[in-house]
Amino acid sequence: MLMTEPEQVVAGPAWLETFRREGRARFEKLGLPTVRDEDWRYTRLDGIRKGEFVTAQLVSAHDLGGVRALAPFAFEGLDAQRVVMINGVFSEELSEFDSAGDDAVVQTLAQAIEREPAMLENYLTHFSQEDDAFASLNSAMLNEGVVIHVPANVQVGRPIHLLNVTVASQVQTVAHHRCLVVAEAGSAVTVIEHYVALDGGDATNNVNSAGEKVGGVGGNVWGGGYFNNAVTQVFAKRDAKVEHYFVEQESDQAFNIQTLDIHQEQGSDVASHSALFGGALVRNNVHPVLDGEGTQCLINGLYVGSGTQQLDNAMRVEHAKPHGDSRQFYRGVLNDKAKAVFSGRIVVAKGADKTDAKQSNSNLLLSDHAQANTKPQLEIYADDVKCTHGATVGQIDEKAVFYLRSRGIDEATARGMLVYSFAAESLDRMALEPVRRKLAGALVEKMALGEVLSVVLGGED
Amino acid sequence: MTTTADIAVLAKREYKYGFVTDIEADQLPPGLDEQTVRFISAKKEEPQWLLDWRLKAFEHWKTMQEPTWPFLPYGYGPIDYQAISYYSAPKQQAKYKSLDEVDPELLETYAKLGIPLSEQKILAGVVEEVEENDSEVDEDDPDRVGQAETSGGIAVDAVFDSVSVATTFRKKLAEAGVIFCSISEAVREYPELVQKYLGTVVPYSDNYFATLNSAVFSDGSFVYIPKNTRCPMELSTYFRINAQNTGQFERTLIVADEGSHVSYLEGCTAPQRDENQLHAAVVELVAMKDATIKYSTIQNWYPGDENGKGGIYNFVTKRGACRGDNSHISWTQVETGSAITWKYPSVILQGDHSHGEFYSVALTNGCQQADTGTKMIHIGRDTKSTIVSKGISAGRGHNAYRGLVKVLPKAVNARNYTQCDSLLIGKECGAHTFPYIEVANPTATVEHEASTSKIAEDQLFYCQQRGINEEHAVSLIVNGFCKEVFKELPMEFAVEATKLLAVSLEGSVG
Repeated sequence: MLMTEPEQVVAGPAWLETFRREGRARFEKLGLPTVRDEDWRYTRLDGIRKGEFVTAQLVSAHDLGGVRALAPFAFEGLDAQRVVMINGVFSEELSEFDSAGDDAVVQTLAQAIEREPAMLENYLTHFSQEDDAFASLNSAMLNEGVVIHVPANVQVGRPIHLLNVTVASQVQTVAHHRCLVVAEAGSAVTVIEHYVALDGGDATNNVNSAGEKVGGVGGNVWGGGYFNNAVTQVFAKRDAKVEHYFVEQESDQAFNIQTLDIHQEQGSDVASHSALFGGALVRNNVHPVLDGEGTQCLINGLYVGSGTQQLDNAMRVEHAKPHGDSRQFYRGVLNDKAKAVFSGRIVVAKGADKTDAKQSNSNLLLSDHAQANTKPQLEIYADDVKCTHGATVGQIDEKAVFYLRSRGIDEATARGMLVYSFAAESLDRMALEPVRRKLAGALVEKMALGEVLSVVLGGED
Repeated sequence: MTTTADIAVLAKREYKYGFVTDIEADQLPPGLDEQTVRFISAKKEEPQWLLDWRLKAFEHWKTMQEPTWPFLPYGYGPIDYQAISYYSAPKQQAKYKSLDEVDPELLETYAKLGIPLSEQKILAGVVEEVEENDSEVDEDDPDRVGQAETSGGIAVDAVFDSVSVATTFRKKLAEAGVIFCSISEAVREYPELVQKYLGTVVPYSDNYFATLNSAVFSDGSFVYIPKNTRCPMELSTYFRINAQNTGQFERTLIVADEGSHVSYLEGCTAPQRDENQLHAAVVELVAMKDATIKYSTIQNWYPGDENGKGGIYNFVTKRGACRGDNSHISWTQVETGSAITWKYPSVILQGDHSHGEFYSVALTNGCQQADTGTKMIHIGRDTKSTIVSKGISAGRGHNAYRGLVKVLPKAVNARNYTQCDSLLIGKECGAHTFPYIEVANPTATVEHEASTSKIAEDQLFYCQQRGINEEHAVSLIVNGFCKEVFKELPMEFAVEATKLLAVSLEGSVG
């Protein structure tokens, strides 16, 4: 059921057909992973396995209520280019980005197939996670996507906000997004991949005459879990600088499998920031390959779970060449029955001397039933390296609460401040202030960190 | 009850008269089937319940698959379980008649370790000397005498191939009420104690190798420390594999009753052989309320030659249960031998306020591979665990730390601290860390720290500048790296461990 036929298949050259066919063959061979697979030992995929998924219906901009419907998802104060996908399909009407002839930075997959097929083939097939079932599935279903190709020495001024909207539906839907970012030598670009959901309760807040909440789109409400299976490939050429954000703010009906594959050349600098707030089951794969000397890589993440959310982060940092620096910082705040996984592996290949790799994962458990599973791992085949990792799991320090209370701060606010400051360490590493601010607000609201904090933080505007 | 003297006499008599036919019968031909299990059990005159247990394990083993998950980059050849002889009693076919015939390289190694001559003979397989096992205190050796005076002596239970040939200091232990004997003897003399505890920490169905061990275990040690007793001396076993094609399947069971205390030392060694030998032991520890068990291992089984030929497959299941409140189990291991080491001494922290510790130094050189670590399962309230693991990789060795810290929902205020550091020496080796941390209680505090680095050039330079040559400087730095673990070892073991490291690292620098 995961391989559905899209309504409009983007036709392509022969290599694209081969690419899809090979992806399909791999997926059929691999099958969906189970908890017996080491990489999935803490996350059950029953919801996806049992799902009766179909391709989502096309929803027009008009049906949504125009660009106004997207207002809640904007990063206030951020002048960004906007690329909107509705149910996995590009919406020209809702998008607004700098597209000027041959120098176009942003184009749709269909446009890229037409304009630069050779470039596309070269990069799409250069993928380091061949044995991943979900990535293979994504390749099999490759149909819609965004291609960001930054020419050499071009510094893209306005960040690119890729907004993936899933609209409430009575049936279970699936979409396979693909995003390709190629930053040529000496260029710089910032990409924000933002996953959100539109339903009656969330964005447009429609209430019918009887006071019942109704869906925002044709009265639709969620009929069952929906599934976004996305792959993003980032190629940072010599001395290029790429900043990537993955912001997950979907509904509690979402299954979201994200795979970020990063390929770094000499002197490049890539930052990956993940903020996991929404979704029923989110799997966040980040896989950078530092395949050039003197590369820098930052992997920063925050996961905030409540209810019965399952947030699974799987990092694999591969140092293939000497003098690479990588930093991984993941922090999690877990309430209710939320479960989180952090599995980070640093692999230092033979000959990748002078590698300096750090990894840290910290978890804050706020309830008796929350669970954190962490697997920070090192796999090292070179001797002249500095690698460290650390992981902690703990709760709010009662002494710190006491300290704040002794200074006249009420208990709820004191706890809120401590949770906030724990998570803020992740937010502070994000370069874009408007993104930080939006996420801080989301954190205060989701974890109910108290009115005082929300006023204080709100006051920054 | 068989006394030490009896055993010594028996051993002597066998040697003197050489019952060739009897002795031949004492080694089973290679092969494993139900008859093998029945033979071992019959040979040991075991009660029906133990035979049944063995058979149950054997039936279960036949349904199991050999695990493949350990991180072993060089892999290992398939083990032919039908090519192993599952029972071998010491026999008089001396491998060597005197030390002159022993490989001088081997002797040199022993000399470097400071092993007394008489002990060297035993370790090298000079069977003539078996009788000396009856007493660890060798009058000719001032070191040993000194130890006997200062530390009250060490009781040794030597497991020579499959049968425990000698047990020393029995009387003194008996006075304190401590039972320290071979497990076969314990089955005969204290069946109710053995039946009560055997397989309660490592059940017969636990894992592939533990299940095999349950079916065919030949011997091992049994220790029981009665209530409120402090064992008057350190207990020690010397395991060694002598005969060709014999697997070593010992089973050790240590029970520390309420308020008792025991320190147990295990040393392992094996002569050089070209083939790989399987060593699948099981060690079970049970600590009742307020009891403490300290278990120290120095493992220097034959690691194979520099090309990875031969060597021991050390696939061991070691687990302790802190059953009672305030109980304490501490594992210390120094692993320098074996072609493949694959073991995870674990502690199940059931009792409230119980405490588990794991201190490990694992060194891989040549083509050695180690996948070792620990499991700390926090079940009771206020339980605490400490893990300090030091891995050293040299030559083409691969060293992996694999550990699990699991905090169950009821383990309120559980506390864990883990530190695992790796040191890399040379371009061809690998160091890997695979910790698993599973926390299901918010009051738990779990910390894990790990680092991997090489010996810093500035440290080497500092030493060399002060006239210490490179090899000694490396040895000095490595010993400093391992200090946290060595200080947990009983004194004489710590000295041996230090020397062992120096020997094992020889030739890996420069």
